[in-house]
Amino acid sequence: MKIKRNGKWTLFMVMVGLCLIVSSVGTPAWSKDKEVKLGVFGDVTGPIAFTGQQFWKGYSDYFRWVKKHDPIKGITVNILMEDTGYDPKRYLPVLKKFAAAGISAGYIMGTNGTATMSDELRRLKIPCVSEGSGFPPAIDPPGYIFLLRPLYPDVFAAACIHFMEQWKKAGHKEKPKVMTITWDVPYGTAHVELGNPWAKKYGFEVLPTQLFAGQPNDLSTQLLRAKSMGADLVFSNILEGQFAVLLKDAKRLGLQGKIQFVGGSECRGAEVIKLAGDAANGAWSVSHFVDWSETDNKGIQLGMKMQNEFRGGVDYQTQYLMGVIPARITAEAMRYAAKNYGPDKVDSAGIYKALTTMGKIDMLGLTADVQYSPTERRPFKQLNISKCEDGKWVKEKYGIEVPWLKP
Amino acid sequence: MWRPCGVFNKNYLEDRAVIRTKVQWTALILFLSAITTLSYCFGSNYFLSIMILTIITVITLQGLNFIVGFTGQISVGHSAFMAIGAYSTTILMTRLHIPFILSFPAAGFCAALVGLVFALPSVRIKGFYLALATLAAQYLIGWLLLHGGRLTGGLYGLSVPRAGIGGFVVETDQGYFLFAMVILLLMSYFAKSIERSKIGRAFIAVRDNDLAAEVMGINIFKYKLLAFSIGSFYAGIAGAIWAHYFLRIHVDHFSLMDSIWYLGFLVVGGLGSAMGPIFGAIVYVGLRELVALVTPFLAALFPGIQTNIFSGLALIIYSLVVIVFLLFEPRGMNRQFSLFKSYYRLWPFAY
Repeated sequence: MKIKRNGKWTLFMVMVGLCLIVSSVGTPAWSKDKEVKLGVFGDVTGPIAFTGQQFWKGYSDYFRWVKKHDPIKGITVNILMEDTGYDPKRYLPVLKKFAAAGISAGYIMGTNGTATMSDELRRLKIPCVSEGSGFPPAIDPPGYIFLLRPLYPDVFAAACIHFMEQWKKAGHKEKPKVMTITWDVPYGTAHVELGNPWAKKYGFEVLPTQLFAGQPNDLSTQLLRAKSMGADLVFSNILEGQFAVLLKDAKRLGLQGKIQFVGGSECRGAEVIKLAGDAANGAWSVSHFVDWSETDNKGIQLGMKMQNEFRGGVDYQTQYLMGVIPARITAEAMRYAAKNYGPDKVDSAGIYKALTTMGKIDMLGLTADVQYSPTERRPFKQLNISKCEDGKWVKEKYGIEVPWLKP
Repeated sequence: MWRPCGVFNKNYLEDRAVIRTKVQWTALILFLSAITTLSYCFGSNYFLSIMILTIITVITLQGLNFIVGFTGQISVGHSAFMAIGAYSTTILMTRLHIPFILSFPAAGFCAALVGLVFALPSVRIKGFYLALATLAAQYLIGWLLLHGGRLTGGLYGLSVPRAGIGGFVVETDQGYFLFAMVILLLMSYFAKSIERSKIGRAFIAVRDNDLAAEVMGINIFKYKLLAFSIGSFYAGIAGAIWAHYFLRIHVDHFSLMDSIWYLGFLVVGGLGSAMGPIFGAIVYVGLRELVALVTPFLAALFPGIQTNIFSGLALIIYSLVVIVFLLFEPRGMNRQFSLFKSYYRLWPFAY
């Protein structure tokens, strides 16, 4: 049987053919978003594994959220994450791998990685946001490391400033005495060199630093020294488990309520309360971010939404929020670069330029607004102090302006 | 020295040669050419950095092999001697403005000198007690570097200048790989030569029975100190290569855990053999990369147990490998390699 073909049929077949040819060639370049690769030096195993995993969850969730609810026009973000295990021997090979893959920016989870890679990042000109506040040479002179919080001496300064206010309010005339009891590693003692001379000038009597090694079971020796020397304020840049030991021993020795104990930002977590119990009451912790309990905070609301959507429920981990902070800074810098320089310019140079010139980044209240400049790599001057009260961390004082100590 | 049947030495030169046969020469040249060409021409910077880290580990293990493998002493502070080398070359170059060509070998000699000091207890004590003495070296050196003020950079460590001779500065990974490879060849040749010399035989005599060695006229004091010095020299050179590659050194880069794993993986490679450090280093660096590659996938696959197990997966696997070798092949991979060589030489005959 002969089938009749009319003009319409021929036209239809031509159209189908054209469609097939076009689809086989692929989407035209002009309609494609630019792929921007970000490298995460993930310390998801090793000594800071728990913290690193939470950082990674917060970081990756935020970019998933941006992709779904608030995409950056003209670009697609591709995150490469490699486990660096807080091991100096891993950082440089991973950096080389990322550089070969063409990352435009990165995220470093600790001081160790920052110290190991800061010089190489300067050479490669790859901007990285970093948690490495224990390594001031990374920002002096300003390079490609953008810190996510002030340096550790500033954390110490915030504790001193707030304590001095309380001290004066209470009507004391003599100088308060401050002592550091800390872990004898670079992270633990990072605030001492700059912080102690500053505290002396600020009006404190600075007592000799007491060090301990490794994971302590008992800190009585150090605490008895604090007691005998009459310390009023004890600052410790340590981890949650260590801070819990310090607080428990202080309670046992009858020092709870007599000496004000303050921990760094890694001390404000649920683990301290779980391990120290009642002994944690009254302790302070200095940090740069807000607490999960502040449910009227936009950033906290976003964190909860993200966790509900991607994790099936809220896990109140402090470090999760800390992971959201670098993701938001990077995303906003990319958004600014895409809008002002064009999507094609969202590369290392574009992101670096955006970070140093874009002005304030709204952090949704998670931290103070972030602002870098061509000469400054610290994000803000405001730090917060939380207090442990009846088994939870509550706001003690927020927005303490620190002096930005620098070598 | 085992040689294939029919290969004889006809003069003293042949007897002293490290590489004996044409086949060995050909195999070595082909192997070195292949690995260098592949790495230099086709290797990514990532691959090159892994190769450079492997070379550093081989040299470190070669040094440790003198102390543990040949002389039967123990050192759990080897990483600290690397630190001495790394800091020495940096301080000599940046503070005293001594050129790289002098500061680089000087790093080895500085480490050897420090090693000599910490070797003194080895004359009176051995075994567990000596291990504790070298452990003290690890802590003491680490503490001194951390609290060394401006000289050692204290908390912040030191920025290291690039390696270079005259006006020629090694700026690329390819260039540094070639440099490290040349140093490795020299150090390996030196190690093999010492092993086959009077000194090497004396080391082995001390290891096998120090009392008998002394009765035979071997000065135990001298040879134990010498073994520690040579071992520390190697560690110092490895530390210097590390420093000029990373371009920043910090006390955290040279930890006690590294010292312990060096010891463990020397056992895996084969104590008291020239090939042992090479096998040990390849397994150590290879495992580290493999674990880093696999862990995030496993952690994502089993989210419920990730913090408990996967965060320490590298340590678990390293430990298992060392235990398995200690139980089933205490003479290390080198023993299996020797058996394999004997097998293919005789193949297809079973005798």
